[in-house]
Amino acid sequence: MANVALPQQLPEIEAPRGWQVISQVRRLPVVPILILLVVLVLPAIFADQLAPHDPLKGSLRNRLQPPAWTQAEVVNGVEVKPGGSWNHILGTDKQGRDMLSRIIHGARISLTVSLIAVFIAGLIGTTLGLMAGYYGGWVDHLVMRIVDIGLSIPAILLALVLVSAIGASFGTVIIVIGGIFWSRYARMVRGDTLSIKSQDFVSRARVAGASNRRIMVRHIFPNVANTVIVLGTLEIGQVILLEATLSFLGAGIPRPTPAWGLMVSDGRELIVNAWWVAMFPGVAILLTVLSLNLFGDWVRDRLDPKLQNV
Amino acid sequence: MNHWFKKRRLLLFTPLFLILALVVACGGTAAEPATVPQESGATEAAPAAESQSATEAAPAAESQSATEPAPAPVSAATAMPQPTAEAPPAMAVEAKVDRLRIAFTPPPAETNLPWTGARSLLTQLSPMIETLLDIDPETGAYIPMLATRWEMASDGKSWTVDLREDVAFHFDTGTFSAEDVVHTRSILGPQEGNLNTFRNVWANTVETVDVVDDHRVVFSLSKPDPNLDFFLSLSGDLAMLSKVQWDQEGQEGMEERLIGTGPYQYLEREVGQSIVYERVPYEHWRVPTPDFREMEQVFAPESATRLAMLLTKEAHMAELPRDLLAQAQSEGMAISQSGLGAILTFMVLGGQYYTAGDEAYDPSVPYSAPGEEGRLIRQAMNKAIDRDEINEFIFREGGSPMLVHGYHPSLPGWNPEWETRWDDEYGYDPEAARELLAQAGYPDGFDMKMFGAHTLPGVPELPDIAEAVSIYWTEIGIDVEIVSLEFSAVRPLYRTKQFQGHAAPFRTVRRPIQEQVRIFNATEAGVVHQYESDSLQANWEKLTETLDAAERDRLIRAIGDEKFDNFEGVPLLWIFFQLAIDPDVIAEYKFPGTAASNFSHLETIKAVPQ
Repeated sequence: MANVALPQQLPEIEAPRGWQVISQVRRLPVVPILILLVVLVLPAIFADQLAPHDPLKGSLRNRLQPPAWTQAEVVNGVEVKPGGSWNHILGTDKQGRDMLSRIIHGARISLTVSLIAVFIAGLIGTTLGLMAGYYGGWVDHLVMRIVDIGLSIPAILLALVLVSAIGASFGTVIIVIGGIFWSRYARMVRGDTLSIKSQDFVSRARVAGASNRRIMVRHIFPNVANTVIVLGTLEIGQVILLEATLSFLGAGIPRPTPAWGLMVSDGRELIVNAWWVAMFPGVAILLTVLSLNLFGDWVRDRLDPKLQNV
Repeated sequence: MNHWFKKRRLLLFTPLFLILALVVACGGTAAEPATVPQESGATEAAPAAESQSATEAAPAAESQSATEPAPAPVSAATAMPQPTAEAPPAMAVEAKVDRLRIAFTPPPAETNLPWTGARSLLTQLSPMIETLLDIDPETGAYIPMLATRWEMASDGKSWTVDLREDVAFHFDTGTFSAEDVVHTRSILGPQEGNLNTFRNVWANTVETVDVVDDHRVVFSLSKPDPNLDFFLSLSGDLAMLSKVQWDQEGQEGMEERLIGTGPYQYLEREVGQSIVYERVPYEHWRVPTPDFREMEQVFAPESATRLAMLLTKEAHMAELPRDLLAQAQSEGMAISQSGLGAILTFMVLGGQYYTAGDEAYDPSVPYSAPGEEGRLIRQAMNKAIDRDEINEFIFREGGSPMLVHGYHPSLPGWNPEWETRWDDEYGYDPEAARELLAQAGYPDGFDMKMFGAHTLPGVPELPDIAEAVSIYWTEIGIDVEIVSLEFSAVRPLYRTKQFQGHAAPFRTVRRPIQEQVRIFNATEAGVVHQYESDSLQANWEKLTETLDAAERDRLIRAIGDEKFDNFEGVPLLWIFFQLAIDPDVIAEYKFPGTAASNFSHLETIKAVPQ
């Protein structure tokens, strides 16, 4: 038998470059993410104080003013394209409304819609998921089939149909988005409930005479709460995207409310000559969703016990 | 190395997209040549050259002043027989392209059945169909088309029309005759499910169409109507259909392939995309050989898409908002404009169903409250609007004032007093508007809704108007929520009087005032039901009974006075239809703007020779 020399130390296997980048992104410290969130969230909370102009008021005389740093274009001594003004730092839209003010107030709309919609989805999904997992039987079948149907229909298509049928409004958008996203919570919570309900502490509670509702609320829910929080954090960004998409398509927040999706939609026809009308709200959506997704990853890393030892 | 990477990663991800995007965007702007279209034409600092071109493109014919020259009225008080105007046969030029492509906003419905929707759907059928009377593209006068002569009887209750002989229907389906006129009217009139605007005329006003011989018919009316020539012309919707086709193929056959008498015949349609025609394989009686072998109307909802199609030669003519028209012009395109300032733009204030006993009336809507209260609020809503600003920045000075909906100094019933009273009663004054609201009991304003996302042919700026008006009203305390609905969804609401508490930007085209009032103000025969009252209805009914010119003028003026005094809506501007054309391909396109199909006479477009 030949002697095989075992290596003293296994060679370090370098991960592919793409994985390295992803890994670094996933380990981003929370501070810059929070800064981004605060930069966006604070204006949303204090929009009335921070916005330099009324987001609903404008003047056609001021329409399509470029951002403040844009220089006027002069040809043969004639100004063919005006420069920006510090009175409207990010310029104005087609109706002469201040872009910065509308973006600040748009942050409020987006965050309000997303927080309430995620709360509604979480409430419905968690309740039904707990019931499905705990009771099993026909309750489980019924809830899970509804979940399957919900997950098999594209969210944007379902939202468009529902909003078109009910009529677009702030409340409708929240209800429709909440009504679409609950199924994801239900599936996650149901899975966790199935494993938790067979544990000893649940059996002991049952033996001690606790009612089913008490067991679900006091004993099982605290153990699935982390899952719900992580999912909720990750979904806020998705909800903002869906709301913006609906508004872009004219089926979301009604005009003249300053919703980011609407603003992007307004700017698409002006993209050549007045790029700022679509660009800035687009960037606001990008930054918000990106930071929320990173924040969601970080929350998951912190709260998911399965990842604690990784 | 890893440590270095960690330090930089903060800079890598979150601001990267923003910085790159901004750099690209700003860089793009800086790189634009000096000839880039001037969005700032919208600002006070518009360069003289831009202003001049806009002014030149907008003839002053539709001037506010009654003393200034005005476009010819579309209808005379009594119709006069017209001489047969046989144009000398024109030789087709060898066009640079075989297929002329025109980018339009999608029509309200894509169909070959002319009676199934608003008249504007006729644009898609325009090159294939013909009516009895044509419209002169420059003067708006009625001239012969399939009719060679027409005459109203002295009592105004019958019209005799002589028909042109030897006009062929497409695809060898026979020649045009009196039977086709009877057949067409029978389809446009009594048929159930008929949604066309003039159904009332064909179903009720016209009692019978009698055949005298193969080429003469008599329209017998229930009431005298000196404006029947309007309905028989391209302004109406009596596009002659083939009875032979109907008998042989039925409605299904028409849906498949419409047969008309126009210079182009149907080739193919792709729903949601386009409709294509080819010129008829014989010498057409009116346009012997159109310049382009084929013509295609491409439907593109996005203005930016239509502009891109034009600039990339994907289309040779495009309907664009005025902002983008200016840009197209700066990129070397030309503007073609209707011969007449044919479009009326205005805001409808729905729900003013003041006729006694109207169950649809809702007095709780502030602006349609009964009596003085509602009137004051509507006046406030009018005085809040800066029409000059809308004209300057949305229509680039292309509009002229409209003082009363549908009325023009060149039409009967004009009251010069409206001009002198205008500034006091309608002129822009937000402070006075707030006082009027307070006087009406609404010092803090109120909430209302507006249908403001739809566009209509000729005015792609309607959503801009809606939003601008909502801002004006917000200034005086009226909070407006803009509801996004397609026009096809808005139309049934006003037709069935479910428009209470809703405003909407509208456009319609110039037409005889009796007909304009019927559509917008008549109770039962009406369509839009913008403002209705017993007194207005009584005057309109008297108008439909008389032929006396002086009496008609008095009645029309009385109706106009009531509309003016009661602020029935928010009249805005008269404007022209405008299109951008590629001057490398199209030499000339003349159209009146008063035709039902808006962009009519497409078959007469002149090509630039190869």
